[in-house]
Amino acid sequence: MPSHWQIESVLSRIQSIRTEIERVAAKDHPYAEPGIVYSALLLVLDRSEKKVTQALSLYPKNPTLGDRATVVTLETEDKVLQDVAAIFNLADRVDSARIPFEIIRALSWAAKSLLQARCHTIIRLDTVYTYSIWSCREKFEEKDFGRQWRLAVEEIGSSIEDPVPLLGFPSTAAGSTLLHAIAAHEFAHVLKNERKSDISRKLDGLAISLTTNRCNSSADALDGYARDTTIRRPGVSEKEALKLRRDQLEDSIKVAVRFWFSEVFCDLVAARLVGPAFLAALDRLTPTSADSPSLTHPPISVRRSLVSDYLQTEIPNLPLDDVWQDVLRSVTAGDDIDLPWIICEEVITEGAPKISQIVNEVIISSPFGWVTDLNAFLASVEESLEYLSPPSAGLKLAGNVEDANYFWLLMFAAWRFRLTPKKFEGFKQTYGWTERKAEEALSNLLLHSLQSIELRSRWLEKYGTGLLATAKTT
Amino acid sequence: MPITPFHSKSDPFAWLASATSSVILALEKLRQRFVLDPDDLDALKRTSEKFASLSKANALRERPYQQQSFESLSADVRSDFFTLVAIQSSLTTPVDLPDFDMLASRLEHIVDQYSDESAGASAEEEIESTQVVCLEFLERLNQGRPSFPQQ
Repeated sequence: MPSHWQIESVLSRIQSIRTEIERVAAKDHPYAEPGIVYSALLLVLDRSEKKVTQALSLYPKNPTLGDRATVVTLETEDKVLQDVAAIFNLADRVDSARIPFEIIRALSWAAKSLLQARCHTIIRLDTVYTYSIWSCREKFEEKDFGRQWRLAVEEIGSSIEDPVPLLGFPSTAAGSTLLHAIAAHEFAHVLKNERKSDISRKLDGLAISLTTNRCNSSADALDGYARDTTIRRPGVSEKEALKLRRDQLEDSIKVAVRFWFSEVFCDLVAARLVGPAFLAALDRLTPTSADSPSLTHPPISVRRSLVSDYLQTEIPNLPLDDVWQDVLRSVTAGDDIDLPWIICEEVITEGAPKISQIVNEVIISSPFGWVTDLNAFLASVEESLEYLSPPSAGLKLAGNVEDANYFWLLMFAAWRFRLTPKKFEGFKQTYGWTERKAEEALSNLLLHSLQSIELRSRWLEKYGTGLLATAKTT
Repeated sequence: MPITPFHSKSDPFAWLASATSSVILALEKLRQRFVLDPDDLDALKRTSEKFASLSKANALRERPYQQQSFESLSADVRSDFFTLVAIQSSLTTPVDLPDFDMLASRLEHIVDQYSDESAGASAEEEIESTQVVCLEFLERLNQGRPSFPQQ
C-alpha cells in the first residue's frame, strides 16, 4: 500500500498543475485554440483526481488485490500527470510577444489547402533548436485523453475533426520567415496521420514487407549480431536471452523503418511543394558534423540523396542550378554503422521509389508544374526583392485553394534568392546591410507577401472580383 | 514530430495503461456492487475493443505477413501491431503476453451483463479473474514505460 505521503504528493501534483493551467488559461490569448488545449487538460486532471480518490476509497475493501491495485493506479496516474505536464509545456508559451503572429493565418491557409480541412494553427516558441508540428487532437487521443479533447472542442462549438496543428520553432529564430519552408515537411506528417486509411496503410504495408524480406535475407548476419550483443540477465537462460535479443533486433528494425518511411514520405512531400528549400531551412537546424541514424530519423545524407533523386525524376522542370548544390550534396555518412542501421538504410533505399509513387498520388499537382512559366515567375520575384517590393504584388490570384501554391513558390523563390551569391551580395551592398540584416529584410518581404496573398485570396473567394472592383471605384 | 532526431523516449503504452487502469477500477466497482458512471462504461467498451484488436495484431506476429495482407487490416490493428512490437522491443526478460482475445470477450460479456437489466450480474469470480489479468498486464506495461515521458 502506498504511504499517506505518496498519496498526498500525487494529489498535490494534480492541484499544482491545475493551478498553473488555470493561470495561463486566464490570460488573454490572440486566438481561441490554446483554450481547447487548456480545457481538455483540466478535464484530464479532473479524471485523474476522480480515479485516485475512488481507488483510495474502493481498493482498501479488496483484501486480495487492493494494495497492488492502489499502487498501480498511482503509478499510472503519475505518468498521466507527466503527460499532462509535457503537453501543457507545448502550449504554455503561445502568447509570447516574440511570436510572429502575422505568419499564423498564412500557414493555416497553406495547411488547409493541403489537408482539405480547417486547420487553425497554434504557434509556440521551442526551447529546443528544432521545428515541429504536432496534431493536438492526435496527441490527446494517443494518451487516452481523446474524450476530454472532444468535450473541450464541443464546448467552444468547434469541429472535433479539426487536428489543430501545434507548430513549434526555435525561440532563437522566431523572426525567420525563411525557416517556415520546413512547414511543408511538418504538414505532411499531419496529412499522413489524418488520412490514416490510405497513406499510413500503404507506408506501413510497404515498410513491413520490405523489412521482413530484408531481415530474412540477412538472417545469418542478424543471428551473429544478436550473439555478439546479447546481455544475459539473472534467471534467463542463454538460449532464451539469445532468442529475446534476436526478436528484439528485428522488432527494433521494424519500429525504426516505420519511422523512417514516415520521415522520407514527408521529405518527398516537402520536395514536391517547396523543392530543396526545406533542406536549406533544415540545414539551419542541424549540426554539419553529425550524420548518424536514429530510431526516428534516417541520416541526413540519406535524406538528401533521396530528395535529390526525387526532384530529378519527378520534377524535371525545377531549375536545380548551382545554387542548390551545397544543399543537395550528400555529406559523407559515418563509417562505423551497426548492422541494424545498415539494414534500415537498405530498406529505405529500396522503398524510396514506391514512397515517391504514394507522394505523387497524394499531391497530384506540384506548385512547380502549376505555374505557367516558372523561370519568369522567379525572375519577377527576384526583381521585386531587389527593389524591396513584396513579390506578391503582381501575382494573379483566383480565390481558390490553388492560390496556396504561391505560398510554397514564394518560399522557394526567397530561398533561391538567398542562396544565389551574386543576388544576395548585391542586395546587401545596395542597402549597406550586414548578412543578418539582409536576411531579416528578405524574411520581412516574404512575410508581407505571404500575408498579402492569403488575405487577397480569401477576399476573392468570398466576394469575387466584382466587389473588389466596386471597392476600388468608391 | 520534429524534423530533426529527438531524444525523448516514446511511450507507446500510454493509452493502453491509462485505459487498463480505468478498467480495473470499474471492475472493482462492479465487484462491490456500485453503479458504473459513463466514464467506467466507456473505458470497459474501448478497452474490450482494444484487446480484440491487439489479439488480431498478435496473431499476425505469429505468421509471415505480406504487404497486401498487412494493408488490408484496419488502422487499429496495424497500429496495435506496432504497439506490440514496441512492447516486445522494450522487454529485458522474456514474458508471455495475456490472452487478449479472452480478455476482450470477458470485458464484452461483463458490459453486456451490466447493460442488460434482465440478465443477472456478472459472477464475482469472472470479475475478479479478469481484474487479476488486467492488473498483471498493467504492472508489466508500467515497468516497460519510460520514467519521464517527453513530447
